[in-house]
Amino acid sequence: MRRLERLFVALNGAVVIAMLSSMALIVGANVALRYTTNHSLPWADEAARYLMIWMTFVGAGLALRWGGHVAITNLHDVLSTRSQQILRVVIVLILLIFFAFMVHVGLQYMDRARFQKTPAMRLSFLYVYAAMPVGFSLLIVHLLLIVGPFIRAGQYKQEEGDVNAISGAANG
Amino acid sequence: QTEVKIAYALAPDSHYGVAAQKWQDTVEAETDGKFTFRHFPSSALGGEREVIEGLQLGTVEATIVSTGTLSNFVPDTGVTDIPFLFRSLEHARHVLDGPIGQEILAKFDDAGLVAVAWGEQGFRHITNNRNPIETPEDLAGMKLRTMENPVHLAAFNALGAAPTPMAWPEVIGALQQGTIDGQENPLSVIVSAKLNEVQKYLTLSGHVYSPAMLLISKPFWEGLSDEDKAAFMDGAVQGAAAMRGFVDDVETSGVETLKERGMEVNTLSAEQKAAFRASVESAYEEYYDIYGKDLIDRISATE
Amino acid sequence: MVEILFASLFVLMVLGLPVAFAMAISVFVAIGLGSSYPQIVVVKEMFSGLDSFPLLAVPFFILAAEIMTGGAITHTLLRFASQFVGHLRGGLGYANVISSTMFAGISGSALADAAGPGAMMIKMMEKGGYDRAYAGALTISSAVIGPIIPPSIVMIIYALQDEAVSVGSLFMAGVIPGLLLGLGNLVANGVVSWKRDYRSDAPRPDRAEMLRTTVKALPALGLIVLIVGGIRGGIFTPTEASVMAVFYALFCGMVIYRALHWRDLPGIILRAALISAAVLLILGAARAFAWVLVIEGLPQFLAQTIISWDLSPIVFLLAVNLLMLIFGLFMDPLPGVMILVPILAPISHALGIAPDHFAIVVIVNLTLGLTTPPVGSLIFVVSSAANLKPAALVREMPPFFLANLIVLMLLTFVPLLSTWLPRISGY
Ligand code: NA
Ligand code: NA
Repeated sequence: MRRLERLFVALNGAVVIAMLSSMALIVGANVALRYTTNHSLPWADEAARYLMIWMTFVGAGLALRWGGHVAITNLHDVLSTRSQQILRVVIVLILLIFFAFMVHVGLQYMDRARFQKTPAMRLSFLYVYAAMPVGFSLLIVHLLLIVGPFIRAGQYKQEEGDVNAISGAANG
Repeated sequence: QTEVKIAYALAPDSHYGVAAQKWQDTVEAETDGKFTFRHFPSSALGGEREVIEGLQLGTVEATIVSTGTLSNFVPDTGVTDIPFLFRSLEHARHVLDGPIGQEILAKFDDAGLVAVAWGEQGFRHITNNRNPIETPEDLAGMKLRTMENPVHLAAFNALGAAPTPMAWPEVIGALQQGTIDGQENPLSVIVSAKLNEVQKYLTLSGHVYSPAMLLISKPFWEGLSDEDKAAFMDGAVQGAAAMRGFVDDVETSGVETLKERGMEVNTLSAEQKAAFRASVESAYEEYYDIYGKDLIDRISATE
Repeated sequence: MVEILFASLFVLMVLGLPVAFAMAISVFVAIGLGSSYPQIVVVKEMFSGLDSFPLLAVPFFILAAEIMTGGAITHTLLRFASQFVGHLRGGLGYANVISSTMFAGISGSALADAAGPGAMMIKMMEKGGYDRAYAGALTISSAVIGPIIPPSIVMIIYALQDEAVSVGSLFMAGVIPGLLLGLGNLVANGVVSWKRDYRSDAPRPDRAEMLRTTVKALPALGLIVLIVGGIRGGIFTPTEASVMAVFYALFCGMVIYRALHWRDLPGIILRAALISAAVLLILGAARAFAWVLVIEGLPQFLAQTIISWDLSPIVFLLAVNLLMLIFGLFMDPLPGVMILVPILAPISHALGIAPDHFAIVVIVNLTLGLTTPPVGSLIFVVSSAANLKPAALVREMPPFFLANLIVLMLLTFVPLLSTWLPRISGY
């Protein structure tokens, strides 16, 4: 089970790394081509944008695991350990309902966009919008994997290093 | 009273705003104030593609959009993007108001949209900072911002330019700083975006006719009575007419304005245009594959 | 609908839900209880918020900064700054401010500044005899410079909300205000250090050593030259500049500093990707949140009301400053810009305020919100990085907050400080 979890996390990470790297390579190549051959890749802009959207949702679960989504902890800080744990149970329940609902609505949205095509790559928007149900499903899995330590001690990531690895780098 | 949210990409005093206002006035007059309109100009509800999705969902009731986005929903709309296909504004208006245009409008039903009328942005023209454009050779290697539109890209590639698809928010800065040499847009946009501040040459190339479309949300439409539907239909036709009137105006006054603001303007003569048309011949093969030679020939044959 | 929206956001944030999720959930609640719109619109707006080419600069600038820090640049910049001022009274404090200012030219976010070089600086200052809380407060305060000097994530987002400005013009507009904030922090540090007698026993480095450190620091400073020069010179757009920054950072780390190895890259890219994902998720959720305000007509209503008051531009700017300082107590800059700019920018245009002047006032003001309790992400980041109670940090903040506030007022009253550089750069 632990090995399966590690594999899952590593795989998720590899996909996210591949997405950000290809974004940089595609946009970089487009600039280079404009200067060397005077031609631009018509699909570069679009491909990079949709990769970014995928990266956001596929990375959201891992970011949650690493404690990367900023939250306000003022209330936590004044509560007793017992009340903190109850509060965290409430948070987990709200999040699970929210994630599941996002998967549901995301699938609806995906289905609606079936026949719409992207302008440059002529790709069905289905494949773009699929990022959301996929991403929120991953969020559910990641949340369930860390739920024990999170409720007990308010910790996110376990054993893989610094708890505050990326905490807060988000808001500006 | 029912609220009608109408969204469009440009300011209230643009051709979009004028059409939306006329649409509102007509509907209000014909339905005794049963409907109140709320305008969302300047992309306040997001880009055109997002607004169209809003129409499908029923969060927005009406919109006026360019056709660039519409070919994502109904591919046939893209046929109007073919360069040097329309000979004049009159020709274009005849085609779109005639059977060909109405057939395309009807196809929006399958996309969950009610397309009521063709509006207009006018012909697209080229501006740049490098040199005046008189022959296709003048375009050679020119870094020209185009829309992310395969039909336009094919044409400019065939002409030997270096078309560069770029998001609109980056265009003014890129023209200013010289990252790209030029761009192409209808006069209405060139004037309202004050492109003269960042561009030296304007070539009235009229390479592509740029229509617009007036659309209504299907869930909203289905809830209307027959009289209300007629009022909205009539309002859209009046709005489209107002839009065309605005464009007719800009085609003359816009050029004067841009000259006054210091742009160097030249107009392609019929022979010069023919040379450009010949240069994009290779791209036409591609267009025949996508839209069918039959449709393209029918458009050309329309008086 | 708007009342339900804000009430549920407040409750969810107090409970401790991550901000992005709290915003999205409150939109669901507001739509469900207060309207007949379909819930699917939340998903649609989140996508719309992300589907934008200029936004690509966000992950790229984050990645560039991560690669730079991975390449041991932080150390180099700290040494570079320390050698000039380290021997003065309050010297390490000055070094903190100067290295934050230089790091601002590498990173696009205040929190990256505080978490990276800031944490290192706090350790160094504590060793040098400073109170840890003082070092932390100074780090919090000087991190504000991060998003004011280009590159800047919040400026990229701002330019998407107000079409009267471009990323390029904002980047130029931020340079002088960023340096002024640096100056303000230097002065504040000088005053407190003099009062508390923070002496230094650091020896003055010799000339050869200084030259060596300076040469080593030059490539790091090259990044901002590349970004600003490249955009200004028309070589690339801001988005393209961000990806060039990535390749430049790779080149620096691998070839010049030789501190970066291929095997480090996956970890660095992953970190950058996850930070970006967190930022972008907030943007998507903020977009859905702002959609409710727009569809309810709040921006138009407020614009009409405020314009009818017939305020003079300066009174309006002061009122906006006050409003945003209060808003900033509870909200961070990115959601702040997403929610407030569509409402306030059109009013400022109508009053004839220069768009880049207004942008700088908004951005500096909202960024200051990162340094104020109860919701101030910089306080949280530094408190966890330096293992300090937030309250201890907050107690040391007043002189620095005052300095930043004075600079903000200067920027409010003197538009030229923001508009001069963009004008002479051709914007
Ligand atoms: Na910066
Ligand atoms: Na705050």
